[in-house]
Amino acid sequence: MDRNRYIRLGAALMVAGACILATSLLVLGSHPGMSTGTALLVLGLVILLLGKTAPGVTPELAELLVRVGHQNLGRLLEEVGMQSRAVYLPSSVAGGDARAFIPLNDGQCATPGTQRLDDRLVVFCGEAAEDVGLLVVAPGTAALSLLEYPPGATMDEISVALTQVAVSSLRIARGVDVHDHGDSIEVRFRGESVPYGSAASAIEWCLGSLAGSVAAALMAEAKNRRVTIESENVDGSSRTVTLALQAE
Amino acid sequence: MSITDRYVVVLAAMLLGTSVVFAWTGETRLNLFVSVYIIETLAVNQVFVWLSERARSALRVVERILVACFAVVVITEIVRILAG
Repeated sequence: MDRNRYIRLGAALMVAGACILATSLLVLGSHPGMSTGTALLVLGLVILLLGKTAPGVTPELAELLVRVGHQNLGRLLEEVGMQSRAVYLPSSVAGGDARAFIPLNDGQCATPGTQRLDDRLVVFCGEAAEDVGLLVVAPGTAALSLLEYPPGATMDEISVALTQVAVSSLRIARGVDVHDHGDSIEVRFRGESVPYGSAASAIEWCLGSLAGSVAAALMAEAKNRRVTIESENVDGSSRTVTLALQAE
Repeated sequence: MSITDRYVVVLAAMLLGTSVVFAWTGETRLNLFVSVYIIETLAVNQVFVWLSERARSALRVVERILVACFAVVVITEIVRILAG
């Protein structure tokens, strides 16, 4: 339901509840009426305040902005000729906010040092001329802002944070399961539903799918380690993302 | 159905179902109606921990208002008991 419908429904329920409560209390002396009026009043208050939190941007505008951002990043990656997998960095390494680092060549700069990187698009990660890559905002790193608190490092905390982001806020899956295998972590998204057309192939190759990006960014931030997406397998409406945690 | 829609449906079913139970049992105390509805709403809020951060911040406002109402009910009862 959209913002206006929630607000109208909440206001209508509050007015109806107040009227029923007042009439039952002052005129009719009806106790079931008082009970129903009170229930509607509480329900209306909750729905009214919930409605004010719904996004004010229309779905069409949101989709348009997403498409523009994706297409521009895809064109940039294709033009530069980047074909390596991104390394998801926690905010402690990447200039204050979580970022995805795409090295110029695969395997190169896979561990871009322990020092904080400058928050710029083109970042040098070593002494050699080819030790360079792009530091970009991935969908997953941006999604971290939807969390109230930074994710905790335990699997339970990671599972709750992932469910909150992927299921509740972004609604890209119906459920999330996390399995720890030491330095590799398997994240399974059940009932995956991606809201827009498939991302440009260059983006999908470098940054992973939307679900994969969210899982990798959240894992990097939670574990405070660099994370790469090792593989992604789609089985029906389920997507299994295998993440590799790099050495600290 | 989004998780927010599910929350609203569950809360509506709980509150209106309780209202039917009150009518069926012949309950007449207004302060009991208010107290039970407030407790039910707070309980459902705790169950839906996966609501988005924006929704949870709105629910925190609701919780504050409901707790204030509950405090008024409790104080009124205490005054009534002390006054004899």
